[in-house]
Amino acid sequence: MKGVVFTEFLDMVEDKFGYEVVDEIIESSDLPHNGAYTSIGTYPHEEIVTLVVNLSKTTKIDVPTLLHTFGFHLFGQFSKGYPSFFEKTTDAFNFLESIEDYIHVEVKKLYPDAELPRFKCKRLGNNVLEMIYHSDRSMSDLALGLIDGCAKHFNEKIEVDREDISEGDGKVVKFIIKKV
Amino acid sequence: MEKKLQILQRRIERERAARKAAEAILEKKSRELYYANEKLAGVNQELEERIVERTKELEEKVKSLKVANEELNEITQVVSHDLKSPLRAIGSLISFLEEDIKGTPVNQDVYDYVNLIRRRVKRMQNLLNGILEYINIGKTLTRIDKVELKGLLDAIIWNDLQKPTDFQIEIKGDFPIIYANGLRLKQAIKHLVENAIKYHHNLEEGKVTIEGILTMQGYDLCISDNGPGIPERYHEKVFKIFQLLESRDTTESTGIGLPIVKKIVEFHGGEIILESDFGIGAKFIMRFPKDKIQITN
Repeated sequence: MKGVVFTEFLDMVEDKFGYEVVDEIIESSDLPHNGAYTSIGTYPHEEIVTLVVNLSKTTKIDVPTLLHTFGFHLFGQFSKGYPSFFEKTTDAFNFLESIEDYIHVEVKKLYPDAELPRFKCKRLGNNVLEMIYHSDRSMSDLALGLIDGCAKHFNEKIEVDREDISEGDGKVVKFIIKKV
Repeated sequence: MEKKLQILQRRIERERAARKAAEAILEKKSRELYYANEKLAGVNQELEERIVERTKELEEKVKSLKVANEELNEITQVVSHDLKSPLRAIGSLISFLEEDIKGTPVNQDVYDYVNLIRRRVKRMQNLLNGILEYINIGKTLTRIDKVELKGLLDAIIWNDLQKPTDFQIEIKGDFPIIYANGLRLKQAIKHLVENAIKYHHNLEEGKVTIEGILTMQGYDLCISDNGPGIPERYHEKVFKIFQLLESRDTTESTGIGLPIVKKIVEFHGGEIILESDFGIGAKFIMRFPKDKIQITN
């Protein structure tokens, strides 16, 4: 997983709970990289899972809520850090549709080893978008946080229905996003 | 306080480790970039060398073409002066001979032979003039005029053309402005119309149609007749220099007209096409590209 996810996650934890909590969730597990991450690096996905689970234990907030909050925070950081991806987009649907064919293509150019989730989009109407998330990492809560963050960015109100269409492991999840 | 210090120390250690990791990644990326740049510089160098090589080759070709051109010019000089002068002399001598034998009791064969020599000399002169015209045509094509096609066609038909009284000429379709050498364009059209009249099997019921068609690609000027037509096997041959479809003893042609028409049309970026079936007329299409045409209202 890209290092930017780790650094943003730890920044968010520090912002919301202070560095003591960051230290605690790192120290309470034997992480291969000892909690030392750089945004340009690549790290095992398991490390972020451990950090999130530890944060959940420490803060007594459930993992899905934490992942959603993190997704929401991450989108805001992306929009500040990569404004060029937003130049051609006019609304949330438009942006979400550009992830697979534009943003991920560009990310792969810089980081050929990046393992990215896939998002298949289909318009079901003027105000309805179907988005199917595929990832072996089963982090659809994070994806939902990103979708909500996207709507916030474009000042749009949305409602999202989520359905796990894999064999219950959360690897393939269908989002039906409606503008309200 | 102790605990806070320990956390701070660990934070510093983590940040230092992260910094070192980032430096290592950047160092690696930087090396990759350096090698990629080096490779690019190598490819660039190779391309530049190839350009130099190709330029040299082209310069040599230009040089040899210049030499060939100069040689051609020399041959043209030889043809125009060294060959034409003796021919003129032979022509004069034939006239003297005719004067001398006039009224003297000589065999009829002598008159026939003299006549034959005169005709052969004439043919030779025509051939030499044809060669000269074909060679020199490129030199005169450099001037480009804004030619009003309709006006040009009217001038050809009403002023220049000698046609039997009953022979019909029909003009129809679109006639835009063509950017071309006016004199040569006139020569080409006139030649095609004259050809259509000359080789017609029935001059009383003969008809030539000149039709202009604007197309997606440009403009087609079609000159068609209801004459005997040209068999398909000769369709390429007619545009080759000195290629006659009839024996030289039965025609006054030199076989230079259509090659000149082709050269003129091709000089203007166009092409000439012959569509004909033996027995049902012939159609010559002068096809001009779009950039040579200006459509008028």
